[in-house]
Amino acid sequence: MRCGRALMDSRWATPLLLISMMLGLLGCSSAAERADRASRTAQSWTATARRTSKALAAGAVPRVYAVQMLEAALQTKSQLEQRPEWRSVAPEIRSHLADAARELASSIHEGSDSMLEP
Amino acid sequence: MSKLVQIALGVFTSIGGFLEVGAIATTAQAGAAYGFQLIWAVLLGTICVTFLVEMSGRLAAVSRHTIKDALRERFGPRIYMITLVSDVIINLMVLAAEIGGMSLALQLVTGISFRWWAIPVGLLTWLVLWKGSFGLIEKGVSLLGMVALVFLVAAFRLKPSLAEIGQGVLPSLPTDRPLHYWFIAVGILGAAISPYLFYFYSSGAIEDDWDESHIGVNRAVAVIGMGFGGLLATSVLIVAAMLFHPLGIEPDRFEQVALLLSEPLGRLGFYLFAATLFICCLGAALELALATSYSFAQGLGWNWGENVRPRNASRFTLVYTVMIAAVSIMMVSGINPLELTLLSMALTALVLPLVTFPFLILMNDPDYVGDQGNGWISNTAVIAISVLGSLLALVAIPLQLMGG
Repeated sequence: MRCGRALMDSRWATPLLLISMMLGLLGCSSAAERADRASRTAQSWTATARRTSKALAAGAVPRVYAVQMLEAALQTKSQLEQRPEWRSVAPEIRSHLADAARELASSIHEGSDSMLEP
Repeated sequence: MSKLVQIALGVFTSIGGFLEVGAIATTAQAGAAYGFQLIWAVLLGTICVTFLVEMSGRLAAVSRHTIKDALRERFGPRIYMITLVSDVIINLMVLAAEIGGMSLALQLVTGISFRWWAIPVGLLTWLVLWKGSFGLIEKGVSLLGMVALVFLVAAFRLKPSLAEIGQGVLPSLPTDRPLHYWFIAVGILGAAISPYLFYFYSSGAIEDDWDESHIGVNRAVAVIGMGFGGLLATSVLIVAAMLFHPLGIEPDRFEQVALLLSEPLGRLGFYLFAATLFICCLGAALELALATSYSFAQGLGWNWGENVRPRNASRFTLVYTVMIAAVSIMMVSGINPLELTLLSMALTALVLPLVTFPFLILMNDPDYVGDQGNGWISNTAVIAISVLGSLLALVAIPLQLMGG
């Protein structure tokens, strides 16, 4: 109760409001930042899918793991595609993700890319 | 048991207990995003937790009090309740992350979603607590945690540059995405300085009937054990820095982290990663559940002890039973374990002063520690690192959450 009264006190209200506004301004990411984040995520999953294909070919990971990674890569790709900032990501980055997922699918299914079909 | 054997056992259990889901997640993220640049955060966290673990053992050995017991006696119920509430909130989140970590380890090798594993894994954790003795939990599970040494082997096999590691030891400002940098740094501190570790350690010292003759053993265990634990966490960071950073892989799922060991160690490395994740998370989950039960029982005057039969410590047993059931159900809902882990580690850093400051007062009170009180180095180090972690968390958590 005492804490509640302190918060309601006008001496505290102004600094608290200012701090919240400052945090809000700093925290709300701009469109460029969102696009940068989407781009990084796509590149990260492209590299992950390629690394997994390589590891699968070398026998360093089991097939069951590669399937999980493919599903995760496809899920990430589909989530990214639903975001408005995805359109501002460089086309080659977008296509690299799709290519890497396709390569991984073919490594798993020996050439079949059935998992990529809608 | 000879002192040397006690030290060896204590060191092994500390090494096994240091690395858990939080340490693996935060250091892997750090290495992947910033290369060697955040090694300093692991070092700071290790220094602080070494002091705190040593203090908690010393308090138990000299005063025959656990931290919670002494807190309640020295500061009264109000301060005790504040620390209890913060412990319960944080421990619930971290326990959920550990149950998630074990479930994910099983998902990696079976392909069955971690959501299906949450309940069986929760049951296993509960069963070990119900049936097992303190010795089994402290030594058995923690000794199994030595499998985590595989990260050290992987780091050596990758032949990292000592000069780059040396640069990472010195704190530096981020050149890229400062908010993310500080959020990860805070997470590393939170993962290393987990309060449940020293609550568990002080309760263990009482369960093992320590007295003043154990002060030397305690110091050796804290310094060597935590030091090696920090080395293991640094190894995870180094492996991620060498394998993920150059490729731009920044894990947003735990499944990606499994690739860390398959490159240097092949398929065996993959299975060892899954084993390490499972065993380390099991050890941490057991310690967390017990530490929370200890916190309730020691402050509220209930009968307690992992060596006491459950029927003779029913309220103590009820606390961990309810906790494990609640978080297992929570993980069935499909929360991303990695996101939960990172957030819970950052929140741990946020509440550090709440935990460490009253503890420091106890450690400087001659009524409790006699002439074995803290020196200025340990007081200064713990205050400085706790305040730094908390302030960084205060700024980084809301910004990271709002910025997505």
